[in-house]
Amino acid sequence: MKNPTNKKSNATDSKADHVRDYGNDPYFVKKANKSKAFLEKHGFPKELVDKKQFQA
Amino acid sequence: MNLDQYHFRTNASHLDFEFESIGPNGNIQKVVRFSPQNTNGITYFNLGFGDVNPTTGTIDDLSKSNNGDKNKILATIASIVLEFTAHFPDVMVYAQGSTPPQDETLPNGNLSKLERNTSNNGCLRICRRRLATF
Repeated sequence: MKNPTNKKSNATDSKADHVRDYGNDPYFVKKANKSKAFLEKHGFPKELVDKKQFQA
Repeated sequence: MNLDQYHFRTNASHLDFEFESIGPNGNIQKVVRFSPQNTNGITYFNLGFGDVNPTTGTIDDLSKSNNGDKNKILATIASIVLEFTAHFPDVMVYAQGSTPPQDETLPNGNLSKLERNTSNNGCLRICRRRLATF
């Protein structure tokens, strides 16, 4: 019986738990804060806000 | 997606992803992190991306690795976003480049392809030049 393989698959290894938790990494904390500042200044796109209100 | 991409791995939280860029400048470890945020009452995940400096272990997104695999990396990031949104349906992902060329690359390159790939469930919108939500 064939064992199908997919070279183009996302090939994630969800069981591999050895990927570090970068949640407290200063680099990513800074990036997230930067995005928050940008969105607080410019706001979310109207179409997105409308969509969220529609879903709520 | 049918684009060539790297194998990537994650952890139990599904917020951190790693893969290796392979090219003439060697193997360069890349990291994608989805950081939960809330702005104006709207919760979203900020997509952070960077290279792991093999010497210091710190992360940098301003370096140019010049490994000749930009499209493969973008395709990998797009697949990671799809994996992330498959694991966390109905969440929003925010991505912004650190430099103008990166900003240009995001909406004009693979994110546009990603938009086509995810348009069926409407989870992606390219909203403006510097803002992409999924």
